[in-house]
Amino acid sequence: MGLLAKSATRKRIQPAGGTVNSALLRDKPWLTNGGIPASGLIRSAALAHGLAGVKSVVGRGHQSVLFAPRGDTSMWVETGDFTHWTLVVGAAMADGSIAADWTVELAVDTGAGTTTVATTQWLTTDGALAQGDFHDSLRNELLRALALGRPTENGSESATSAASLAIPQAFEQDPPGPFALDFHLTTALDETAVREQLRLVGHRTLDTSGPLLRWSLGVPANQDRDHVSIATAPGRLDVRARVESARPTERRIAAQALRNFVRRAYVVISNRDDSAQYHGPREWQP
Amino acid sequence: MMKRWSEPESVFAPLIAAVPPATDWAGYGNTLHAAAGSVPVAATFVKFKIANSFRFREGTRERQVLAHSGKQSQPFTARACLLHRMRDETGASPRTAYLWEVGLTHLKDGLCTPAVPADWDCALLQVTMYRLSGTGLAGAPQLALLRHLWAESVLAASPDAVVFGGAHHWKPEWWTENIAATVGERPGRKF
Repeated sequence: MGLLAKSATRKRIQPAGGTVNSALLRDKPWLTNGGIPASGLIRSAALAHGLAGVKSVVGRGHQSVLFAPRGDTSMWVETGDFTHWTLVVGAAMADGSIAADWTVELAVDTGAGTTTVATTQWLTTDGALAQGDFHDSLRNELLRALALGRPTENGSESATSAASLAIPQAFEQDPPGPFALDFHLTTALDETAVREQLRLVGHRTLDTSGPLLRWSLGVPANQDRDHVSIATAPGRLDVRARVESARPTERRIAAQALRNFVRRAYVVISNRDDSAQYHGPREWQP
Repeated sequence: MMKRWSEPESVFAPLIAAVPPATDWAGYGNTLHAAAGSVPVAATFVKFKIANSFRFREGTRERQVLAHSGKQSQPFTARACLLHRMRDETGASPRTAYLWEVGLTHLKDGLCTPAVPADWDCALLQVTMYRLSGTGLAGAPQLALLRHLWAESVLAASPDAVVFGGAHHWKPEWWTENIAATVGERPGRKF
């Protein structure tokens, strides 16, 4: 039994090759042309394999399969250059590590128009590949989707996005109530330099050309209620912020955006003026 | 030949952004940093067994969006990731501590034609890493919020600015919350 299983595992993990659909290779460069739909095809192959209820063995070494501890299976998908992907299937451990069942590497050679899948790490139980059917199915789907240029059935990323966005977030504290924050920064920079620096803050601008510089905070739909403004005067920047949107969750987002805004505004001014100082409530000090 | 393709309901699909030449604004990297810093830090109380020991550890595990640029973000212009780790952990985290990551690529002239005029300033925001579980994409609300804030900052830079590709809109129901009991409030436990 063990020898047969080992032999079958050896066959399963052998590298396999395929082709890239010619439509994906038509235009150059790959990054802004074929690479975009190809990434979508790979996502469809990954998303098509539902992971609900699937368990991975998290124990290692010699122990009874019956009593081996198991954890919920996850899949990690990563790419750096959109021609190589690493797909790891296993269980996330509480200490941050992965108890991997196997790792599949996918490479696309855009010059030759070929694809290769290889299994570079695998777990066996009594010689049999852990989650072997899942492994074979994923590898086959990756090759098939890229060869045909068609996504995998049941691999809709829109459906997965919608389901994933319904998951609540956990917080330790209630969102803040409506509030206002007023403080000022002192600086030796002149107004032109101040405006140049504040341009780099990066938050969504409402008005940066008039006498009062204004940005929205958090969700842009609430820009009339969640916003921050800066009035410049010689040696001093007066900052007024309002977080007054009706939904508590959006006040939380706006409050976080304000904290980030205060820090970034202070940093961009300090980058050109070491003497710049914050004068305001201590809990908001950058 | 880049087309103006669209996958408007997907938080996985890349975003292409473009602003007209000589637009006076913060730039793609600064807007990504600002968007990342605007996503609230979620927190969950956890208790788990330490591997290879009989001891347990408990504390608060946070989900925080971090942004990097420069050497740390290579080969991308900037990166943002959702880091999932214990509050008291500092320093570099293993890749397994990331629930997702996006990479921002500043594109050279002409790479987005004809979807965008050749001389416009373009960038591509792509999901480079993600973790799928039985319930879908871990940390999806944070990713959707980051995309929305970043896209809206770009669109505010110029009335002619464009963003297309994947989802970059926002629905209030995408951010629902549970208030977790703090350590001291857990019923039946003494500290």
